[in-house]
Amino acid sequence: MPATGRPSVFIVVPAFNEAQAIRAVVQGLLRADRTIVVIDDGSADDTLGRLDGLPVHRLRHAINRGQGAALQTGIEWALRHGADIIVTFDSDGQHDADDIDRVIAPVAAGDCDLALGSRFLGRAIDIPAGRRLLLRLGVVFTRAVSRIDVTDVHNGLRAFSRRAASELVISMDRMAHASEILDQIAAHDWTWREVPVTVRYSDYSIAKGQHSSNAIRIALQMIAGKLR
Amino acid sequence: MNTFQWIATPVLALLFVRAAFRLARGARPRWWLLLSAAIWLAAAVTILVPDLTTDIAHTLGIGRGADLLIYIVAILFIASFFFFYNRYRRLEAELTRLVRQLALENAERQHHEPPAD
Repeated sequence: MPATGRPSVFIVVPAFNEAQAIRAVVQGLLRADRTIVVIDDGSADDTLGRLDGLPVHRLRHAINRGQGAALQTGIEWALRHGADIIVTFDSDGQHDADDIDRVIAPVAAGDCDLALGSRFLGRAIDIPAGRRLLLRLGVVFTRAVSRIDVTDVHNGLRAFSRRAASELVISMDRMAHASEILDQIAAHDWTWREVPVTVRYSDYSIAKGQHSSNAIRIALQMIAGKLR
Repeated sequence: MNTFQWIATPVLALLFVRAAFRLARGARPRWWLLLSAAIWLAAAVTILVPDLTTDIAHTLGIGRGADLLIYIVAILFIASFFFFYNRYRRLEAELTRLVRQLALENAERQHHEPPAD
C-alpha cells in the first residue's frame, strides 16, 4: 500500500451473458477513486458492448472458462496495474454497491488480508427459502471441510489486500472457486474477517444464478480438490 | 480351433503386423507402438492357448484364466480412468491459462491504443 494517499482500489467484475444487467451494475460502481475491470467470460450475448462509453477496462475470455477463471484473470490484470486492494463483485445485480466501502475498510486499515461479505450477518432480501437452506448447509459443510468459521459461503463480494491477491491461485475454474478461496486462507495464513453485506434476490438473479443442484457438484469438486 | 479362434486370430495378427510394420518404418511414439504390438500378440496367444492363462492364474492362486483376465482388465480400466481424468484436468487448466493470457494481452493492446470512438 502506498505510504501516502489512498490505496488504489480495483473492482473485478466477472460477467457471463449479462447483457441485460451489466450496464446498470457497472454504472452503480463508477467512482473517480476506483478502477473497474469487467471480464467477459466468453459471453454469447453483447455483454461487453453494453459497456460502451463507460470508463471501465474490458477483458474478454475467447471461450467460457467459468467464474473462477474469470476472477483470476481480472485479479492478475489488476495486480499488473498496481492495485493495492482488489474487490470482487458479481455482475448480476445481487450486490449493493454501497457495501464496497465497507468490505474495503478493514483491508485498507491493515486489519486483515481478506474481507468477506456475509449476507447472513447483513441482509438477504427476498432470498428463496430453498436457497437459504442450501447456503446454510454449505456453511456447515465448509466449516467441516475447510475448517473455517464463516457465516456465508459463495458470496461474490470480497476485498483482497495486494498480498493476498498475489498469493491467490484459483485452480477451480467453475463455481467451486468460492470454497477454494476459503481454503487458501489457512494455506497462506491470511488474516480475514466477515463484513455484513446485503444480497438482493430478483427473478433475474435467481434465474441467472446457480442451480441448486450445483451444490452437490461443488461439494464433490471441493473434496476432489482436497484429494489432489 | 474353434470359430472364435478362427475369427479373432487373423484380426489380431493383422493388428500386430500393422504395429510392427509402423515400428519398423520408424513411426512414433515408439513406446506406444511397442505396447500395442505386445497387447495384440498377448491377446492372440491367450486366445490360441487358453490353458496358458489358466496356468498363470493357478500359479497366482486364482481359479480360472478368465478370472485373471477380468482382474487385469478391471485394474487397467480403473488405472486408465484416473490417467485420463488427470490428463483432462491438466488440459482444462492449460486451456484456461491460454485463454487468460490471450485476454490479458488483448487488454494490454487496447490499453495502449484506446478505441477511437
